[in-house]
Amino acid sequence: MFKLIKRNYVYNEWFWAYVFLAVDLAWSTLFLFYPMIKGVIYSFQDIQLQNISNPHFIGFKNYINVLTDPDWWHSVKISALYTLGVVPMGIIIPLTISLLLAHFRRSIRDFFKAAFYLPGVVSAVVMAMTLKWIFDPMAGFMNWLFSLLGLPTQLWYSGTSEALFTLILMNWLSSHGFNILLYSAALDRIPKSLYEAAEIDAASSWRRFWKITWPLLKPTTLYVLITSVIGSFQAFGGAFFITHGGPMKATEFLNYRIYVTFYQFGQYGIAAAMSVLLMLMVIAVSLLNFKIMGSEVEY
Amino acid sequence: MNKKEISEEEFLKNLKRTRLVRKIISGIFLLIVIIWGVVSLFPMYWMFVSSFMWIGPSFTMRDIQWFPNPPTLRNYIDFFQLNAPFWIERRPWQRWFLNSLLVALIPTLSNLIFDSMAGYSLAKLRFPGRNAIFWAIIATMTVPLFVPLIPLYKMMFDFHWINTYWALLFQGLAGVGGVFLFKQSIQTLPSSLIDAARIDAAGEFKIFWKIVLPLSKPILALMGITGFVGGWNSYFWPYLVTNSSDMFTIQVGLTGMMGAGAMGIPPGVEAYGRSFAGAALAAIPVIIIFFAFQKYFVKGITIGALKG
Repeated sequence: MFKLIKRNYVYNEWFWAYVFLAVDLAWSTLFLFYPMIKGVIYSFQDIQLQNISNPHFIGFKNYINVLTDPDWWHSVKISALYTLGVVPMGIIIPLTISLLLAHFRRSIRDFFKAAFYLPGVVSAVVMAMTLKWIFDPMAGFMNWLFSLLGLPTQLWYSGTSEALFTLILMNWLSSHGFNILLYSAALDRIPKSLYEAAEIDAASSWRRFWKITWPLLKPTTLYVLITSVIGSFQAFGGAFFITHGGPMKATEFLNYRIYVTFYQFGQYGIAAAMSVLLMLMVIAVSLLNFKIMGSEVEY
Repeated sequence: MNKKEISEEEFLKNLKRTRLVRKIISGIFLLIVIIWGVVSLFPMYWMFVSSFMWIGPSFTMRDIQWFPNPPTLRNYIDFFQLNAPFWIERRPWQRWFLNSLLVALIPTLSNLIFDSMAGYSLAKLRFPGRNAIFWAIIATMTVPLFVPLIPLYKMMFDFHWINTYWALLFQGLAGVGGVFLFKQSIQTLPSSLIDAARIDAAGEFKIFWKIVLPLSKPILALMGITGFVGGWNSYFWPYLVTNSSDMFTIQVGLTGMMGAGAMGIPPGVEAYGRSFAGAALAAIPVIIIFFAFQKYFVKGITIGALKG
């Protein structure tokens, strides 16, 4: 008797679990899972806008096409350089600022945290537009400031050799609010008793940082590292809004190349192969990060 | 040990000196923090200031001022095309803001409902396939945007949804974005409450509606606010699936005004003025929301990032 009730109850729970999941699963299947699989299928097909009704399988031809294209490797290089330029500062700046903030009263801290986070709620379009205007070579604020200080004016994003660095610089200036909050929250969670013990042992503040703060912040640092590597390797907005991948392909990020291949040239198969390759690279880089940093982190 | 005896007087002197040094150090710290605060807020200041600055075709560095003197509303008049000649085609800015509002509100609201339901199911109900579904959701978070985007875009074509609200709104009515956070949050609710309600023979919907949702108010608020801001700020999907300007959102309209994208023609400096008027108007709602619900943004970070 009891068994019967129990089985009935379990059956009910299954039923309701799927009812609650139904809409979400239906939508994700139709608009996310299915397109994802389809995207991988596209990468093995000859499918393009000009010939959209007649796709057919061509094996690895798209991949071979992409991997033998020097422009693709150029984009890999550009994205890798951008990542190398962006990621270290993306850890150093938020960490420094939140360590400095930790010295102040709660009210001061909250005020500055809000100030640092505020630019992050404004849309990427507005931010990119503003940064483009600030770095405008003819009429921009930066060149005005440079000439006030007696420095030579720069070409910024319109110079072939400066453009990539300018986008890196824009990132340094504009995107740390979230990670500052993250580090501050992590610092708040470090028990004060650890520092008191260190004080009794007369440990220098340098030692205190490397022996207490840094190891305990490792999980946060790992999180910041992985998200910012993934994010900057897939950088897009700077090229889309500001440079159009130029000048002379100097800022043609991987994602921008995929976008142009897909949206401008309508070569869906090749663009799909590119995005699958990008996915593999992102997975590889994240695993590598985990290996390097993760071995020492305890969760 | 090289500790030596020191007199009381010397000790007090040392203490005073240490205090002074500490004060100087924290003064330097404050200065660094203030400088960095000014640097990171400067772009927003400059955006608002530029929207009140007259930027003509011959504008150069020499015309730059810290604050426009005198400030002018001309950019706003230009953005709204208040005194444009009658034969010029109007910029449908009302539609842009309306569309942005729809994109920010409707998918967010329906996602709140469906994601919380899915989150509840994954957190508190036992059924076969639960782990598989959960891991499928996690895995999708690491897949680059363009993998599903290209087929999805073609799907919109096949459905004849390009340039319609079906593409803008309908395809985003439910998804996996919030499921993870809802699951994490609902998991922390005591199961005994739910079991007690089940013994009282309450239906699953009643349990969800009367017990789970009221206890999930903080996460609902958080997801609602961040969802609204995210929807309002989204540009890439609306940019891809719209092609007539009355279907644009404000972000897509601004994208067009500054000639972004692969096919855009970069405009001259004179386009900046009216673009900044639009940008300021697009930024004000999210800034207000940020100040009104500040604590939720901060909370969202601690819930979202470090529960792994």
